[in-house]
Amino acid sequence: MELRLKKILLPLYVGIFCIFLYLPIIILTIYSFNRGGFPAQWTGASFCWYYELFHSVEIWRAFQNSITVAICSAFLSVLLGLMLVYGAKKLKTKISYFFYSNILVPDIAIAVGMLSLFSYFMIPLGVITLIIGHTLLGLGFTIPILKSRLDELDHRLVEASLDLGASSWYTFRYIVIPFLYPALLVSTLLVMIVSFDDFVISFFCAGSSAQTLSLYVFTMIRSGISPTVNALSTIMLLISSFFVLAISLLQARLAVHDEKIS
Amino acid sequence: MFEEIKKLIKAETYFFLVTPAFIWQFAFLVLPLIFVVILSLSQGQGSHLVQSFTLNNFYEIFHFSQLRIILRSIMLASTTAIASLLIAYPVAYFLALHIKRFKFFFLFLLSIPFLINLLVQVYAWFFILEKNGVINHALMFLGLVQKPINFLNSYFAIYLVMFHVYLPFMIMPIYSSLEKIDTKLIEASYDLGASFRTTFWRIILPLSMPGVQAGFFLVYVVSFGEYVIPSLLGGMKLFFVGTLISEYFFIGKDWHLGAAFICVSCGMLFLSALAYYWLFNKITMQSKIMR
Amino acid sequence: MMKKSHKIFQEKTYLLSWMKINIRILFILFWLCCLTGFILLSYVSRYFVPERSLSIYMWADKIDESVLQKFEKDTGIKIYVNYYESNEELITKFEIAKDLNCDIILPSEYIVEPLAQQGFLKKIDLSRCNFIDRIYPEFMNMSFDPENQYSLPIYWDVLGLGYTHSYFKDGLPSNSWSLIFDKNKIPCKQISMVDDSREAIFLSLKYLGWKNTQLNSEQLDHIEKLFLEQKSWVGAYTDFQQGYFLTSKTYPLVVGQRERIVREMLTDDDLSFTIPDEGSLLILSNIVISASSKKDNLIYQFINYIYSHDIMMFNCKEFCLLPTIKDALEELPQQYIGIKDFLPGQKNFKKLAIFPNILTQKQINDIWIAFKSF
Repeated sequence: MELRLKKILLPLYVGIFCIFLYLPIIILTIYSFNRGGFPAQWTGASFCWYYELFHSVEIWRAFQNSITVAICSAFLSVLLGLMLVYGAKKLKTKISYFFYSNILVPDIAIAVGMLSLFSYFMIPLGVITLIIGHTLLGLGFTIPILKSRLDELDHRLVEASLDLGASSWYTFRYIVIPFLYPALLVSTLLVMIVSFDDFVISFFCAGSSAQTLSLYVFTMIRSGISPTVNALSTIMLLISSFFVLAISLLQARLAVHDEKIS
Repeated sequence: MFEEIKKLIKAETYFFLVTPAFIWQFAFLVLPLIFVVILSLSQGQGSHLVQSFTLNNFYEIFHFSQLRIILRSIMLASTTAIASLLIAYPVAYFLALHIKRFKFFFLFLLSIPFLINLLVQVYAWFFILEKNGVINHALMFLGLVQKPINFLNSYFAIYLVMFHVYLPFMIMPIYSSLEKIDTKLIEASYDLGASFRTTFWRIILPLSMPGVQAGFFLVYVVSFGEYVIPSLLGGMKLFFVGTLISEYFFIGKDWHLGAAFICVSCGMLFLSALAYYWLFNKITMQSKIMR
Repeated sequence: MMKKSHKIFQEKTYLLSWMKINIRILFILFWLCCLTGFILLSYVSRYFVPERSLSIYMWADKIDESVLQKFEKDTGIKIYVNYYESNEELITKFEIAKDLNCDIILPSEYIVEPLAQQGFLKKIDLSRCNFIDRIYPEFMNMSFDPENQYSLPIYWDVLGLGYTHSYFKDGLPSNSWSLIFDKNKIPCKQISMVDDSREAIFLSLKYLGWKNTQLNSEQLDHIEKLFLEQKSWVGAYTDFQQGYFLTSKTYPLVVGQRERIVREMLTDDDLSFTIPDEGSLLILSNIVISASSKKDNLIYQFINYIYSHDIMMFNCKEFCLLPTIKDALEELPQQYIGIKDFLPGQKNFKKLAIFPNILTQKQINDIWIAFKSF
């Protein structure tokens, strides 16, 4: 009986689960090739919505903004996170745990707080304030990832390098950083995705000049269904999948690498 | 003298490195939250947001309708967390302990929904649930209903989409804690003649509790303040904490009441999370006693 | 001897620890300066906008992209467009930022007065506009801007009831707002209502038949109760999705702006639109100029371009808008208007009115939040 459970029921359950998880996305993707708009009667396959998508100036600008903010906030949060984690390790403080709460504080409280802060100090809302908000989010991801990876670094390697006469900068550059490569890349990609997908902070802190892709989709949804959004969603799906693939491959290589070392 | 100063500067490099992130966090997380608290305790208009201090805002917030919305959000968050826990656990179990070869493929498969844009997912559900959508077509095709049912703008739609969106969040923590379990323990348990059920309840489940707790609290806290899903699927009629906060700030334009509401709802969130934490501890204590 | 060296040693340690703290403070200040510099970048970005450019802040679906692109091609002036969702948002952002760094704004009529009062707008030089005599006099010199010092009306619209013929085979039971407010007169299970506090309250005033006097608190409570009661048969509150609700047959009766409903009427014969007898709200979109803008030449070039006959016709057909220009409106085919006898001076037009000044924005907000959060 238990064997039957394990061999048949459980895989079946997981299969149904996967279907449920992917159902909306698959349907959306299929209908993005539908020639008729919505309500969907299948009227024939066509790329017309993708064509319209590529020719929309607004979407390109939103995309540009999203990418800019994603890259800048990923860069900033990885840089600041790396500095903090390394410095904290050397100073032997527990300050890194202060950053673990970033994920747990409700998005909306942070967003509203930042909005009031910016308005009080009369900082104009725009791409820069967006980058600030997303970097803050990003810190909550990079610091735990980098910290756990740095903790795995055998301190004897560092000591050995210093004993052999290398300066701390040399040690940092040629021993610590290579060891952290996978974690650095994973956290960069992760922060990029988080920033790309973020809605709440963009909604409150973007102001008039920065329209991101998420905000654009939100406006479109509020107006009802638009077939261009189907095409846009499929493309965003592809972009996200690409990032996830990159992260998964990196983690796979990391696991193999670690096994080799030990 | 300069030698020593140079030495000092060198010694303080690590402090130098640690500071920026800390300042960033302080300026953009702690300060805004403090600001929200100050706003909630004050009154003022327009550009002079903080003119006088008063507890009035809190009196206005502790009104039946606002508290009901907070309770509604707690219900939503609890249901989402518990339901996704129950549904996601077997999947994480399967992934951690039953798949030997295609692990990374499955992980990849299960990570994608996690990282798809939330708005895209909501839009997809909108597409499916609406009156001319796939579900209604299927139901009519199967003859189960005569006229299409209105799924959107209802609690059902909100609960369903919340559940769907937060499922991946639950899988990862449970999976990672299940993975860390030493398989030798499980093998030993079977060797000693224990059935699957015993092994599961007395070895696997307790050892995976850290992951279960992490996943539960992650989903609970994050889904409490959810804005997008209730806003798009609630028809601006069904209000939860997130949507009401946005309403206060953008429609009502009363930042002080809004700030007070944030404080009260965060407080309730914290208290309810503590309650769940105590509950979890009691359960694990119970199972320890049973052993 | 020992004491002296000991003293010097102590002094040195004190000096060093004092230096240590100082250095730390220095580091903190350094990073704070970097942070401030980073934040100041957001002020700098506005200087990267090219000289020959205009920044427009408007509601979605008011001016078509192709119109703007044509303008860019013809004149070489680059156009940057930003969208906002609601008029409240516009005022909030103005109050926060004091200067939104845009040149032209397209607000609704009731925002023009507060904006002008707070000094955010620049006076319009009517002599530089070559279309003034083509605008209907009914839309000029309205109460919110008596001599059109700050605003020019560009589009107008009304609130009304949209319904499907497949559900209402003989038409609506009566042409009145009681269909949505009176429990005994609702013709279907659920309707959709406007999500805008001002519009909804105006409709309730029309339903209750109260005339233009300041409302007292009893009357405000009555309005709130009316909305609370109405909530039970409202399926959704929306400003954008009414047309979609009609075509997807989600709700057979919706309250909304003519523009959105007529858009769907163009492709779906089943829909109809009507203005109830008690009257309805006249909504005006206006063009205003931001006080901080210095690009007057470019602005008037743009405004004259937008009001030109062909461009106005194109925009109105594209989005089913109603122009305030005589020649454009008279030439617009009936299907884009959606309702008969509707032009200024005709029967149905006389039912329209602007929102009267009988309650403050704060009272409106209070009623709205109170009943919505219940």
